[in-house]
Amino acid sequence: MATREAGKKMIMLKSPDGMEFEVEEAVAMESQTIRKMIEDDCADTAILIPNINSKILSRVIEYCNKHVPTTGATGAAASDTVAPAALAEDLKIWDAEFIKVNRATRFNLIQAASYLNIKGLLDLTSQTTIDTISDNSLEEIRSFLSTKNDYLPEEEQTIRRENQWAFQ
Amino acid sequence: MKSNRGRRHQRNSKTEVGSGDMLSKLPGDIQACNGDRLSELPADVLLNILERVGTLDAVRACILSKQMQKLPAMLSQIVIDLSPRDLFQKSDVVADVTNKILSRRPPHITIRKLKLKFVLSPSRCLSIGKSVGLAMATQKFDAAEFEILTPKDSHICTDAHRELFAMQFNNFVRDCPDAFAGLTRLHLRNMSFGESDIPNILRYCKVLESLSFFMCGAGISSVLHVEHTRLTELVISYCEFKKKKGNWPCDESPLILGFVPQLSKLSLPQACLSRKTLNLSQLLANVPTVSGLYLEFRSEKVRIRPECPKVLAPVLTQLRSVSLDNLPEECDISWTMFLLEAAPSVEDLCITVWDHKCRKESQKSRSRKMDVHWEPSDPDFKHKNLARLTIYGFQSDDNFIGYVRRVIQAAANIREVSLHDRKVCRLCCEKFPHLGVRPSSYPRTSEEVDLLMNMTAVPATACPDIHFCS
Repeated sequence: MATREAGKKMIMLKSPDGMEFEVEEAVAMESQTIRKMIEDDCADTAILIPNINSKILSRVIEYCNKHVPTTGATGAAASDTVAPAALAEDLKIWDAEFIKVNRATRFNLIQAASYLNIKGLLDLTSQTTIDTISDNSLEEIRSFLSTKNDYLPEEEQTIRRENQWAFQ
Repeated sequence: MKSNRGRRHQRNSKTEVGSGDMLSKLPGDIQACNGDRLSELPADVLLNILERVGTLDAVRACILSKQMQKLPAMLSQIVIDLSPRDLFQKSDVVADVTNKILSRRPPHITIRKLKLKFVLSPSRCLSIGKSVGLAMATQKFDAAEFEILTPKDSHICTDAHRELFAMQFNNFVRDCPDAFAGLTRLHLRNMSFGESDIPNILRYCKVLESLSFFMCGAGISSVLHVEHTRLTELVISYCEFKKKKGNWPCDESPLILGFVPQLSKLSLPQACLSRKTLNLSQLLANVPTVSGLYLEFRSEKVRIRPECPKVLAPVLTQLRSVSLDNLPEECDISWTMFLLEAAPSVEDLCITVWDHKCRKESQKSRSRKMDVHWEPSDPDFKHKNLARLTIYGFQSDDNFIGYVRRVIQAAANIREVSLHDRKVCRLCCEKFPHLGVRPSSYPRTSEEVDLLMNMTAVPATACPDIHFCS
């Protein structure tokens, strides 16, 4: 859990399973959704983040913590001392590690990134899904993304007939 | 999005093959409670993901489940942009999918972007044109773009083909006026138009903002006349607009820019402009709004008149960015300064010197290369706005070094000078093997770079960063 540092404004984020996370305002504002709440003065006490459990929320905060200095929001020391190219490379490696999660976690992170409106995290978490959709056959997509086949047999026949191209 | 894809992602999807296989062996109900199904994501999240892939891929993925089937009709970005090979194979699919997506849309969702690339074939064009036209009548479009390929590509296209394709396209426009009335961008290739065709097409395309021609022409006896109130961008590449024969004044430009009050980006090859010498003041007389100018010289003799600032300045007041591409090698480039003298607002100047001729039969120039004669109108000339000078094809010789010195001296606020080695084209090297092995005097070692830095150093008010980027 984050501790209060001198001169830095802190924000309390609450997950629906009752966990509280104290984070720097600048870190929380990586989320455009939270930024808007803060700017509209709706963030006096704790902000409840619905639908995002503590496990996912803590990972989201981890991501924002890592990414906050490069956007220049806090002007942290890292960007002054390290060359931008090296910093970007470091972030890329960190991102690659961060996203080594199972599919359920990844889909949860996608939802969280989408709700909280964190573009970088949404780009990162949805890239594998985007690649899967663009590069694979329909059956492969079904198995990689575990999409449930909810058609009745006769419905499936019609779909196949009408969209032959998609099954080639 | 695709360009962002690195090896990392490829590996990730590979590891998933394993987990996917394992999961498929588990009973269905155990899989169901993992929350790891794509189809269980909320619709807005799914739409966000689906808008990052090509629309055909999105439609295909949505076939997977009944629940996802309604999503394609809700996409706010529809992009069908396949490679030419895929496009020829899936021509019917493009027409069919376009029709299905557009006809089943809930009317309240604005189409932020529609981009369709398709092959010119009368029946399929008609189907696409009708679908788009109907959708435009009932729904809001922010941007709509057509890129039209022809059944025969440029290298096997004859004049007869080009005339046929132009005729088919004219019919397409006439048969689908609703679609063209809402089009904002149009790319055409391999068409040879009659004199009244382009003005006619422009009349149908009322809100067109960008028009591009690739390998097009305006027939043997015509002039390309462009007049449009909304057009902001005109791009012409590898085109031959031939001049009128007979008693037509022979220095008349085959391209006439009429009333195009919004035109800001103009991209042209020298060859389409004139067999004689190009006068920019004449060409741009009606379009003093141009802020970006790109001229391509096909590595041939430069036929441009370095007009004096007094004549040229009135049409270049808005010009911010200038790019002069494929200037012939071994010719003096100092004449290009006339543009700086006449265009005080220019911020970016990019010059590419390159004998790039793989599209031609022979490496020999059509006419003897000659330097363009130019005298500075004012030896103490200063330019206040130029911030960046970029040169591709830089060589350590008097021509380039003298030019860089001259620009730095004149440009009081220049911040950046980027000097690149010659560009390399694989096709050129295959066709003309000696090109690949000819010597280059581009600086390689740090000593050579230091030496050059000293040679380009001038007592100037600005000290720009000079980058050597080989």
